[in-house]
Amino acid sequence: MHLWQAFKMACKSLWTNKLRSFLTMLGIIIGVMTVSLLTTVAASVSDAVISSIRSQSTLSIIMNTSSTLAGSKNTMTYKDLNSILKNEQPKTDAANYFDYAMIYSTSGAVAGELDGEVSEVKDYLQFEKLYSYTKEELEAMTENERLIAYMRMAKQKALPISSSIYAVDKSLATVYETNQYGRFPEADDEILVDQEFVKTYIGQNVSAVDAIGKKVTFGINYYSRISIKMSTMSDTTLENISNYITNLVYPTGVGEDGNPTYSSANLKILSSNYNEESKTLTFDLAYFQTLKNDAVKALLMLSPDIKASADLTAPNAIIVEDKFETKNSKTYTVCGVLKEDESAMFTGMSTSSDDENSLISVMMSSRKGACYMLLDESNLAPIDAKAETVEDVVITYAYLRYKTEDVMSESTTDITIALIRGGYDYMQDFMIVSMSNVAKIISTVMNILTTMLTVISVISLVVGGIGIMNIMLVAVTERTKEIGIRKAIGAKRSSILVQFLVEALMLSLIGGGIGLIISAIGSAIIASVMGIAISMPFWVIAMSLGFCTAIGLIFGMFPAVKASHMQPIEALRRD
Amino acid sequence: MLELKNIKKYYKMGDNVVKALDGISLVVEDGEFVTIIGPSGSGKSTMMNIVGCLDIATEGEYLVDGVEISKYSENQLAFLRNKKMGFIFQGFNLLQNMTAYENVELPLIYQGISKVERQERVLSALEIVGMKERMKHKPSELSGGQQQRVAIARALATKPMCILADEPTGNLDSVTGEEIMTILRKLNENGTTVIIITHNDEIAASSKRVVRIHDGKIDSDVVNNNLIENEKTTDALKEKKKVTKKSATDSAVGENKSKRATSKSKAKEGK
Repeated sequence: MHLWQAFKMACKSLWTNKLRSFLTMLGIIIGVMTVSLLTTVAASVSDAVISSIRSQSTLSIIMNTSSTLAGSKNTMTYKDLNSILKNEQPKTDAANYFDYAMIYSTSGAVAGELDGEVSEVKDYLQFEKLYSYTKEELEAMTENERLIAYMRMAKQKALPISSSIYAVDKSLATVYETNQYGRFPEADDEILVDQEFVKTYIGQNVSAVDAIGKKVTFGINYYSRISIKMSTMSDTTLENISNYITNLVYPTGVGEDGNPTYSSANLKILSSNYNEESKTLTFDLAYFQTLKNDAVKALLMLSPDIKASADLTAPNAIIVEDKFETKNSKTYTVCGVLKEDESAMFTGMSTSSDDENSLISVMMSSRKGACYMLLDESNLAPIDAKAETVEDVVITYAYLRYKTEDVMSESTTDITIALIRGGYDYMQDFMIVSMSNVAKIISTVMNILTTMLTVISVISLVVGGIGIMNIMLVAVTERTKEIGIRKAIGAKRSSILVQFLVEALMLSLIGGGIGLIISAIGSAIIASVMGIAISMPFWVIAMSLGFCTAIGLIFGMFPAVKASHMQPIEALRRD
Repeated sequence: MLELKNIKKYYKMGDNVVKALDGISLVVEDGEFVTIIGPSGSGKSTMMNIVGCLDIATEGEYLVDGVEISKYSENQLAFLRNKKMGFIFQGFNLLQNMTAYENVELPLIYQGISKVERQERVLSALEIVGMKERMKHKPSELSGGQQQRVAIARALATKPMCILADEPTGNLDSVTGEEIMTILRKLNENGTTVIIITHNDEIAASSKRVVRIHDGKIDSDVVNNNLIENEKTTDALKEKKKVTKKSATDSAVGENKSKRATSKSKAKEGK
């Protein structure tokens, strides 16, 4: 008998007992759903976590400062580390080696970060050669390399530190400028901070501002909009008012000579706009120093100059709106801008701007997960009371980031050996944690968990299989007469066997198919809820259907054999 | 030709041995219409099972078209049933979830016949029993007589050598029963051997040959001369057959006693 005939017969008998068939399948449906959903989600989550960790390519050297063992060399200064790195790593082109290094000390000082003032690092990284670039060179650089170049130039004050990299070609004919992300501008880049404005303040102490929404502005701690009602408007009026605002000073107190002291309000005009309909002149202003808004208002109101130069329509016509005000501003020097595609995890790890006693380095996330690196210039001098210079700062934790994972894993061994040669005791005095090791551990753990979950959910499949066997045995008993008739008219044992086996197989495979569909829908829902990409790997589908086939065959075999071995006359005698 | 030689069938019921058939010898030529009659418990159903290759005798030889089948395996028997036997049962025994057409088609599927040929054969078989119009109906939608017609068509479809009917009219009223008998007789006229098992004397009366069974033995084997005379062509032939059959039966009975003692060696000799 052809399989096709058996298949048709099986369809017919399954359809005759729809409810029973469905209930039997339910066990398999749930089993397959659990297996495939668990394995799919676990695999995807594990991939996401591991790739996120791998993308870090970071290595941490953790010093054990509390070691009390005799002979333990548990202190390491910035200088020590640098000489170790310098001596042990000459085989690799240094400029290609690190793209970022950050070292933390007990006192919380950030000793250096590709920092020109820290000569050891500078020498080691051979920064000299990065001082000037041709356009071709710049364009050939990765974003990271460009960033290094930028920070290098900025620290040397060859060019003003700003959110832009200026690249001058050898003939000085062309100036190329990048945007605040350290990249050459692209069409969709949103300029968050007024370029000119920031540039002016490069090198000065400015205040960093928390992320506002998803945007980050830095260098501004107040941002106001001043609207002035004007009855007439001319270019001269605008110029006069602009000059007035820019040069505004305000009284801060009374000096020793009895005269008032003034301070510059340091207002900067970001933009100005005159609306003809409402006869309103609007200035968007930014300023750094603490200046009460009402003081600005008062000054504007009282100034005779402005009254003389502008025809104000009403005495209370000047409106000052606060746009932004920081709650947690701190003084930093803008020293650089990190690569844009830093992962959120990295950012989260280092965000500690609220903690006064921890790190001075602040990373803030912005749109597209960009990181801004701000260093407190005043703290660049050693805070560590014992240290005389930055180089003497005692390191508790050094954090090195590599361009690629390959370079990092090479370096891990080298640095370990170097530290041991340098007299440090492995495990006792220092520990090296590389992200690739962490990724390995996590992937091992995830694999064990996934396997365990799969095994557990396979049990539910087996339970479903027992359900199939049960229902098939009932069917064989119920259809004894049918088996007798079939045998009487010439059905061979194999025909009966195949018929019942196909029926059991169909129960399990249809159940498996439904289970897979449900789990595909389920994983799509989970993907949208968790916000990670989940796709059902092919092997999960193959495995699920394979399991179903096996279960259909194994649990369908006994009832089918039982049916095929029935004696025709006995079967016929049954009602 | 079907040939039973000293067939015995014993069943064990606990400690007792029930002798359902106790030395049956019978020859059925092709084209005969035989009624096997006997009271219930006489062993006629057991006999039909053996003749129909549904069961194997405990002892004795059974030749189908000259081939000894008592050592056949279950699959070989299934093949034989499929090719040479057509069954009609008292309770019709149609598959309830299939239409009349599908029921008739089933033995042909087991034969592995192509779909086109199957359709041809099924339709012609249904035509013969007059059920072509109702072939899309399921058994539950058909009357008893109609169901039995479908069963006959199913038996017919494989073009069997022999149709075995076990109380074919047992569940039917007399009018419908007579219709069924008419169909069977018509089939016989076209050359198919028909063996009917019944305890209905009326059916026996209308048979050309009547074999009476009692306690697992043949009581009498009578040819209904009145009916045969009507069929002038086969008259002389039948007469001869009857004589040979009688003598065969007698000799078989004679052998029985000695055979019972050394059944195995005798069985080999018989071959």
